[in-house]
Amino acid sequence: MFENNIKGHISKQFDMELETVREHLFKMGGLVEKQVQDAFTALVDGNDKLAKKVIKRDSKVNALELKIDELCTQILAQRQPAASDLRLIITIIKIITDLERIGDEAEKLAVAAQNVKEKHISADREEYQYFSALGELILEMLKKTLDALARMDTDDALEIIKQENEVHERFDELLSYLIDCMKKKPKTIKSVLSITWSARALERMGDHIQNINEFIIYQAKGRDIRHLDLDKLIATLDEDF
Amino acid sequence: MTKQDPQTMPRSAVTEKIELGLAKRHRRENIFRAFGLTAVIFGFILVFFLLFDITSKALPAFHQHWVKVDVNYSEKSLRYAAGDNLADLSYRNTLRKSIYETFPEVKARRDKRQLNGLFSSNAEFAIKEHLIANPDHLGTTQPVWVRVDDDVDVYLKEVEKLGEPLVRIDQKEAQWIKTLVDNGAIEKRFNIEFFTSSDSREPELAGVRGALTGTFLTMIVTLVLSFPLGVAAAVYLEEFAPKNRWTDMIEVNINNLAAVPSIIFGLLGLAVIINLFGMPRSAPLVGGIVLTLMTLPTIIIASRASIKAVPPSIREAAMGLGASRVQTTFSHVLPMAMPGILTGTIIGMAQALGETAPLLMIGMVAFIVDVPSSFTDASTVMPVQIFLWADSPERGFLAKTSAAILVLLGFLFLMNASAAYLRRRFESK
Amino acid sequence: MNTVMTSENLTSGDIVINGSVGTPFCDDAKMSMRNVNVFYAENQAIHDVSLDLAKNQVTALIGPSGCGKSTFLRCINRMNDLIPQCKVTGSFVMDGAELYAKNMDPVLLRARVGMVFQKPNPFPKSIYENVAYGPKIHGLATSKSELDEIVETSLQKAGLFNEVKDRLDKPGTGLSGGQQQRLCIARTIAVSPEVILMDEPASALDPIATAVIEELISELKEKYTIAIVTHSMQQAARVSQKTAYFHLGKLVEMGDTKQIFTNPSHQLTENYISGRFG
Repeated sequence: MFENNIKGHISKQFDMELETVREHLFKMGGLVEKQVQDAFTALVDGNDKLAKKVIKRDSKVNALELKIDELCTQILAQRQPAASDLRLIITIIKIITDLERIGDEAEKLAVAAQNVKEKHISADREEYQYFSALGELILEMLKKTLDALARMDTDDALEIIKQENEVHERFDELLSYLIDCMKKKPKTIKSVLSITWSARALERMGDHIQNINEFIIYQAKGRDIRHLDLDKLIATLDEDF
Repeated sequence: MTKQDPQTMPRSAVTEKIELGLAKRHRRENIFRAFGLTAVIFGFILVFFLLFDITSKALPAFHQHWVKVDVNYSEKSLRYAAGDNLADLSYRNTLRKSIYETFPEVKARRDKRQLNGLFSSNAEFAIKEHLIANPDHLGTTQPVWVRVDDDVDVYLKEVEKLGEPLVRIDQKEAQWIKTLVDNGAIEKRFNIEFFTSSDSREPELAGVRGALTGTFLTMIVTLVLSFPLGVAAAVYLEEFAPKNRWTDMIEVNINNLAAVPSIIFGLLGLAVIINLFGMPRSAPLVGGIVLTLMTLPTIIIASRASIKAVPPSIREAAMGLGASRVQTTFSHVLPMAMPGILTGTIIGMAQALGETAPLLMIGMVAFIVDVPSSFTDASTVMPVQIFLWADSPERGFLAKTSAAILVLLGFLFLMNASAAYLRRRFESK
Repeated sequence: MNTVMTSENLTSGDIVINGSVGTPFCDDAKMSMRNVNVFYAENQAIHDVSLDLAKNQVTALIGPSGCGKSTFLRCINRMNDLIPQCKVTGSFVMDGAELYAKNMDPVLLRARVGMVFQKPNPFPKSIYENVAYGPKIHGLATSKSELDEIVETSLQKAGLFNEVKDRLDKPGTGLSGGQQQRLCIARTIAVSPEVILMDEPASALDPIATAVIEELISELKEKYTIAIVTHSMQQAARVSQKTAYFHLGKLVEMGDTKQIFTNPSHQLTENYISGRFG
């Protein structure tokens, strides 16, 4: 549990500082989740108002990133954390970068939503299906990731990492469908490209989500599992624990 | 910004509470300080009075009155025949005749005897020495200065109006003295003999040299025996001895030994050293051994405390470099403990210096005229000398007693000063 | 040996110390300690500790007060011999020789295994005498000039020579705390030991003097094998290559410093290092 990672120091002040960071982190996580959700909805529904809201709210995400960075810097300077505390701070610093990027991708979706409002995706049933399947998957993964982060649950994190292939599969499906579209109806190329970009943004989110989960495992197990393929990763984790 | 007056600055409840008790606290502090100061001043006054009293009483002892006698070294009165040894002549007769010539009006036998009593019993030896030094004075009349009797000396030092009778000097004698003074035949001289001669029954002849030498010799024996023994015992007990019931017992016994009345050590000296080992009585060697027994516990206790106070880090440092225990002790622990050891030693030596009781038991109380020249010669020591003189009935010894006390104090001062010098040298190292 | 442990001192809270974890042994060990137990009268201060000091590396011993790390360090050059009622069992091997063997002379041992103490403890003598004392008692110099040279190189190795070269005849106690500690290090290396034990060498010093000492330790490890007891975990992290964590007289964990400070294996190590001890 995340709680266990921040409680129990001799210095209660340190506990409180970590608690503040945690609150901010969860706030940021919640906000990013909402951004993605809203951006996705705005894009699918062609909701211009919602898209605007999302774009406006991105600055809040950025401000939270700055705030958390500052808090972490202070902890590093004042507390010189070691062992799990050190890993926690490093993890948070890394995770918020990924969260901020996810926020940026959500902003891209929102911008795209503004551009495609006239001929929005739902007009074409099939591409809607593919696109929203990808979007729903990302949303679900993000939600699960934030849960895993709150519980520092490595099993869940590993599950999500395993889902990465699924993201690529769905993205590839969408992409091949869109290429078909473009081949058949060259008129639609402009709007299809826009969808491609949005899909690309969703795929990027998936990558960032992977990163976050990798750091959850790093924090909990002290093992850096970045840039390992899945089989090796599972093997490493099994061998150690 | 202007500073706020402490009287008007805002106060919290706690501040006010503290302020309430403040006056009382300051008062207590002042009272305590006043007490301390009074104690110190009181002590100083006592010491000052003691020194003043002793010094004022001792001053007369440093002067001696001399009287000029016109000695007629006639061959007849000396009963001199050619070839006689000058040392074997009848000087007493000569002196008496010369005195009678000075006072021709004195005829009666009793008066004559009284007149003779004005001069020191040493006077006949003085005129003898004069003639031996100047053999050509034989047959001539020469002025020779001789000491006056101690009663006359005291009279001259104490009387307010010459010619009046005073203690042990009656009307007649007073008049004779007055005549001598009027004739310029009496002179006051610095009494160098006080330091150069030994004890005597006659106060005008008594000096401290014998006792001083005895003290010196005794102290040397004490120091030479007790310092190395004491330090060695302390070092062994602190640094080398295992801590067990035996060493605990030894420690307790050493502490007890320091509290044993000193006369017991005297008895021990008498029974063991003199009777059993057959050492000479009244000797500085025996006195030194007895005083060593007395001084040892003091030195051991002080040295142990001082060795214990050497920080263990110094020992660890030396041992950590691979020094052996003995190397550590001698090159680091002892030099650092030395100031404390010296302090303990000087306290013990000062105790020994003033000790009388044990020395009485081993016969150092005897009346000894000769200056001791070795550790086995019979001798006495300063405190015993003071005790003897204080016990003497002659008024002349009164001043001598005080003067001897001054000399003893001076000796003590010298001893302390040398210890302080040594201590300073060890500390600065 | 584990049988002497009581359930009381086996646990800290609910966490059981069940032998040590990590990598207490290494291939290029200068010293190897095996199954070391230390008793003070009835109390057991060290329980079955086994570890190696790697050659030309700094090994840090950390742990809460009273965990036995200083005791263990002092056993290595038999300083505990000086304490009556202190009994040491187990084996201490340096270069294949058993240190507690009957024919091992502690004087020789202490010349080969030097020690620097918590409080700077220069002798109340001149700076020169302080450094020259060790070589003198061991007869390492045959002439005055040779002794001069030993003193100079030792002071240079301790980074002190330039600061004191004009006042070698002044008392060592007149130096600042950090200089005194470097003087003590110079004094120790003047005997050319193979191993240097340091018992909280910087705990009485200000941060700058501490940094100087730490830098010195890093330089010294090129020539010497060093074991350092420290209360400052940051210091252990900075100067050491290996770290051993002691708790209640037992070795809980030992391993590469990097690993101990980022990802310790044992919960107790984790708690201590992250400030959760208690």
